[in-house]
Amino acid sequence: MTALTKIEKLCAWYNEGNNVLDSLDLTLEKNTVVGLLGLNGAGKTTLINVLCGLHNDYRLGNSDTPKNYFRDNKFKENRYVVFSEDDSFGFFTFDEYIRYVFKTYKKKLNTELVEELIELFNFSSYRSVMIKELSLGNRKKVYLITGFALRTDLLLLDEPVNGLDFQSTEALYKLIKEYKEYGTVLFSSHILESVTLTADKVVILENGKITKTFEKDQINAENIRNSLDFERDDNK
Amino acid sequence: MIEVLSKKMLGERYSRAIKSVIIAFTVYIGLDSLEYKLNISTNVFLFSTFFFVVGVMIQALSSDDNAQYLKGFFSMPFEKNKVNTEYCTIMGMYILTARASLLFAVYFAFASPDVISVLMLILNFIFACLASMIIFAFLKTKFWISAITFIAGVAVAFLVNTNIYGIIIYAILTIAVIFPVMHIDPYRFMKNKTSKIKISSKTKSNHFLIQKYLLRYIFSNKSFIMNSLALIAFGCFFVKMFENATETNAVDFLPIGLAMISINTPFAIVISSNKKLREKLEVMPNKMSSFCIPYTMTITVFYLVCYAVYILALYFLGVKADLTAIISAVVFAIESAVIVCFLENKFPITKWSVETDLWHNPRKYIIPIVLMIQGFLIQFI
Repeated sequence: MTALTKIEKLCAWYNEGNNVLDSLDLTLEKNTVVGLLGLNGAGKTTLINVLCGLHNDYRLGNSDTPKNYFRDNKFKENRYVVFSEDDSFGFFTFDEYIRYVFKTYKKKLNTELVEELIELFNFSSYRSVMIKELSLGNRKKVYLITGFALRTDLLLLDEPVNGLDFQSTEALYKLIKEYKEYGTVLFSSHILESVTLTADKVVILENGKITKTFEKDQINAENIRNSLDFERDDNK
Repeated sequence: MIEVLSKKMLGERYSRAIKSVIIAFTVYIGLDSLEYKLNISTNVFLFSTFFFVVGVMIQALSSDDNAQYLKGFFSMPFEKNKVNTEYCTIMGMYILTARASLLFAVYFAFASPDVISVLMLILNFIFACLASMIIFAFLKTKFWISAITFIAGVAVAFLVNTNIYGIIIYAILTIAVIFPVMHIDPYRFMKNKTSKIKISSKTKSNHFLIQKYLLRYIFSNKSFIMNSLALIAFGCFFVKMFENATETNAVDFLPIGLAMISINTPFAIVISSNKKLREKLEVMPNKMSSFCIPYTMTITVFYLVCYAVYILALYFLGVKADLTAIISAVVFAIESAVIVCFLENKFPITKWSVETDLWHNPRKYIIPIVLMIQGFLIQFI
């Protein structure tokens, strides 16, 4: 497989000398689904923020990835992120938001695909409501539908399951699993089921480092649970 | 309630209030030392104060973080009368220290009012705070109550004479509104969420999306428009005041009035006020073409509309704008929009915990100061 992004010896911090991510190595292959698991405070959101170009205080060990790589316009055009909590563009309706995002990414809107996604997420009655008026779950659907419709090379999802109803969660799993046809998904989650059902690769973050990686047949709830149990024991 | 809310509005141990008062006092000392006196009509100042206080008080009462605070507070048991009294007192103190203190500093420094005017001004301020509570509480359900209260405040400010009877009238008026304020259902002060707003049918156009977004943002909150109107009214008052006081041609002060109108906070904090919007804009590509340019264009048009209303209002007050003023308006509108967009992009206000911090960040004075210097240079050099 070809690497989409290779991160070597990534250190990130909020207070100098206290690394939240500590010499973290991660290779994101093209067309794969990577699940990111870890306890609260393990550094999952910080890692996603670094990849989004939102975290200022970080250092990379590998010389072929320049410091501003994550803020480069070309990289941005190939990446979309769904935050765990989001209230941006609240005065847009879904239809306006998705049109705005496609225009910004200089892509042609695939209306057929959007309609399909709307159907899948059972969202049709909310598409003309201002985003700020929507409930947490419906707001999440706005950004998820946009992300899946945009089909960028890299789709980052920070805790995408939060706030979604049962039916939409099932739809989300299906979409994540199918996304590798178009690009790579990196998503963080607290829900074991979400990674076991969708990911090709599961990485466990512990104290800012990747302590375990599971691939293909190794990905099952028991293996991962055992690994997280060890992590919890180590933290005691 | 009083401890928590006062900490939020006036700062830890009243630190924010004390800071504002010190700034206002320093401004007063500075302006007073110029020994420049103006003949300002007490009625005009009473009206300006009433209009200004009602505007900023309603803006403070309707802020989102205030709504969040009240939601938490109302989930616990409370005494109706006590809540209303405390809420009004804290908000009044906040308006006095954070917003009106500078206005009073300028007035006292330039006008040197007598004791009767000062007493009337104090009573007018208290009345305006109480009236704002009534106006806000009934704005959506019984609009006529709000309208009558507002009209009464404006009418008294204009009609009352500056003498002992004026003080008595204001005292009676203030006492008369205390009772209704104390008995308003406190839940009326909660900003009710309206039902889901559906916007026309499916959007088919890719054009003017950001412009549409920004207009919806500015019209979403009545106080944003009130804020603009208040600034225009203040600009008119300023020009007329200097015309009367200096016997100079009023049109000479018009560009400075335009500069004052450019302290338009809502449009200048679109990015700063929403952390997630700021992050999204950073994360998405082509920010300049997709956001910055339409943002600048929208603000330019908005300022042009405000300036046009201002020039038109002055025309009805007998001040005719000359070509210099009209060219200044166009240049100022473009300039303000470019600076706002630059500041929001490069220096967004990030360290704020409550909306009021955001609204009072000194950054908002950069544009009017730059334009005022220009306005002064245009007219007097």
